[in-house]
Amino acid sequence: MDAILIGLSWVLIVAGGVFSVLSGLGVVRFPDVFTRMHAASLADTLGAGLIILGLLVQAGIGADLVGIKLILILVFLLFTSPVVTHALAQAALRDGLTPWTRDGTPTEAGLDSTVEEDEALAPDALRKTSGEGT
Amino acid sequence: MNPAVKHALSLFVSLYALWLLLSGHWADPLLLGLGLAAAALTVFIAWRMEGLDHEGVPVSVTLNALAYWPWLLWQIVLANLAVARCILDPRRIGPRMAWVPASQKSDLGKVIFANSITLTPGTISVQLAGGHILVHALEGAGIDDLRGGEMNRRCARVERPLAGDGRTGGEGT
Amino acid sequence: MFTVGSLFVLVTMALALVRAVRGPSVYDRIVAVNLFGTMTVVLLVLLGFLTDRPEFEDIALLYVLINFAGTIAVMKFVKYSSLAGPPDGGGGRGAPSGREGDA
Repeated sequence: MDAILIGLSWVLIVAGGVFSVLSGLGVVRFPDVFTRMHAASLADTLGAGLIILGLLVQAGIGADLVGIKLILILVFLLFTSPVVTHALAQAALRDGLTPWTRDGTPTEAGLDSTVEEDEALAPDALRKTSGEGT
Repeated sequence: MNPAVKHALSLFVSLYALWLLLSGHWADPLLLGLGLAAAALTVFIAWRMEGLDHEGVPVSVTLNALAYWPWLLWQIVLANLAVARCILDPRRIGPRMAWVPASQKSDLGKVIFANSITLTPGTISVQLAGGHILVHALEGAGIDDLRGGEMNRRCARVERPLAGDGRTGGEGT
Repeated sequence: MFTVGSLFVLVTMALALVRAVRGPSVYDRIVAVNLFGTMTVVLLVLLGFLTDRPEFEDIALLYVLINFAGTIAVMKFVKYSSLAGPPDGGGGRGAPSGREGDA
């Protein structure tokens, strides 16, 4: 029984560590701010989540209520990380940073594009047209 | 019951439960009393800041949110795997940005939907305008999935208890 | 096993530092620092287990919230050169204002 628990937390911690390192790798490798945010959210969700889950398996609820604190850390992390990411993305976009795309064309929608003009295009046609600018 | 009283009470109870869980002192009456005082002070400050409404204390949607989380966690795991594949092979990425419809009626429901989008790696909500959310996605498939509307429907189900009374802000005054 | 986990976390922190030093725009740096902060939280938790001192979990719990508030504050400062918000009060709705009380 103990061996199973220890093996389980080994697997969880190593998996979480691998996701964290991948996230760091993505932050270094990706071409622009917005794609880097995607990579960073990897560590916020599964990276930290799996490591904390692995520790939770080890600790149980624990004498000093360690388990409760671990769960709370995870919950707070999951509540705060999207708020930060959203605020960052919006601030970066408002500051005039243009999202990187594969062929260098502007993205099909931006802060200045209105919803209506975007909706008028069928989702299939969106890929070809550059819908930015009014 | 007066909704402001309901919100204040539920905030007080949950704060005190949090205090008990974090402190671990369950026997000493002095410490328990101080915890009560701390929770009451926090509720008072929240009331002074007019934060005691259905957004500050979202009691009515809590049960639905708990039912929604397992599905969201599963989506997060799937999205994590997709993004991890992109990191290992950066040639796969093709970022897109597009508007995605959000059919929630209350502000709280829209925030839940936008936060779910951002929490799922591979998609970030950038702007909320009317009934639409501007989403930046790492792969084009992310936008198509969101336009498919499964997450949208589930978030609308979470906010359903609110949809009846709509925005009833300003109760704390 | 805690040592191995800490090593993974330390490698991630080093990678985040690389981006924080290189990052062309200030937003790249903020992303990197935010990632660094998240990893600090995980490292604190792991340290608590490594040294068998459960008090570290309380510090980590606090650090999650400080990291959140700190990132928002830094971003607000970068954007408006002041922590009070846009000088004219018209800087667009809700950009850097964190929601609170939803936890």
